[in-house]
Amino acid sequence: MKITHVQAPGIEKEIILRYDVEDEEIKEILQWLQTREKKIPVKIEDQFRLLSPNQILYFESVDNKVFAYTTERVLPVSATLTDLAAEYATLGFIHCSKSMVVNLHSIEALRSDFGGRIIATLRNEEKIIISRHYAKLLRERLLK
Amino acid sequence: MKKFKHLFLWAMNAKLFMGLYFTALVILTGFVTLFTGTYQLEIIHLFQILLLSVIISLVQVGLLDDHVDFNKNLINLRSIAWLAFSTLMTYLTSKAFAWFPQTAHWGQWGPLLLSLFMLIGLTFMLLGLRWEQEADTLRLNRNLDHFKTKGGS
Repeated sequence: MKITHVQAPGIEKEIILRYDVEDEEIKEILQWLQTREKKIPVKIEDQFRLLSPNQILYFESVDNKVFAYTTERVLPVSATLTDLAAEYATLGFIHCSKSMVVNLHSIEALRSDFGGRIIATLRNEEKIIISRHYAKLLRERLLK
Repeated sequence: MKKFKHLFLWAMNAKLFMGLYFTALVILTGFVTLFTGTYQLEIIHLFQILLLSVIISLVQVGLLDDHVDFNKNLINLRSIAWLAFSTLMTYLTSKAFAWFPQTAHWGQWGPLLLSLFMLIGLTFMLLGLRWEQEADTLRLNRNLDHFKTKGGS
């Protein structure tokens, strides 16, 4: 596929896709673009605000409540982990444990550990442990 | 039930290594026994070797596999502790249960020789695991970089 991008001062951001047949590749790009525009509603001081998925490091479920973790804040989200993982899978969100869905783009480094585990260092220097079961899924995802 | 499941999984993790240590111990004990001029191993000694393998592998799972350490020094310390424990246990068990006939030539050196072989074998096994982890870490980070640069979806 030919990729052309034009940079010029003052022009509006625009993406145009030209294709003859809407094949898998085009469908994937369209889906990615549509999901990218999605915002996640989070609660900040009794008000719902929309957060861009790339700001989120991970979602975690604590006592049946789901929270979104950014580098600065922990924000309540009114959705289930399963729904979030499914909706933002195309943006690189993946279950890394039963109670956590991590944004792969927020991972700075990965380290292989004993027992098939993986230790992920996030961009805020936080370390999370990915168990053997989820480590297998992560490896498969990275190779896709 | 949850506790039983956890215990069962813990034992499952140890099982693989237990088989490995049992095989290694049988071969090494047989090899050292040859020095003493004897050409057979007693069945009771095989059971004792099996028990020793269970203990070594369970302690390994408890100290290394079942524990996450972010500090490399702590991992090294745990590895050394496990090596020392396994070597000492091999020495004491083989001496206490008289795996090598004391009357035979080299017999008194048997436990020491066996523990030394075990120490070398286990050290290389740990080193092998560590090198494999380093290679895996490199592979993982390469895949992560690739995933991010292609716009990961």
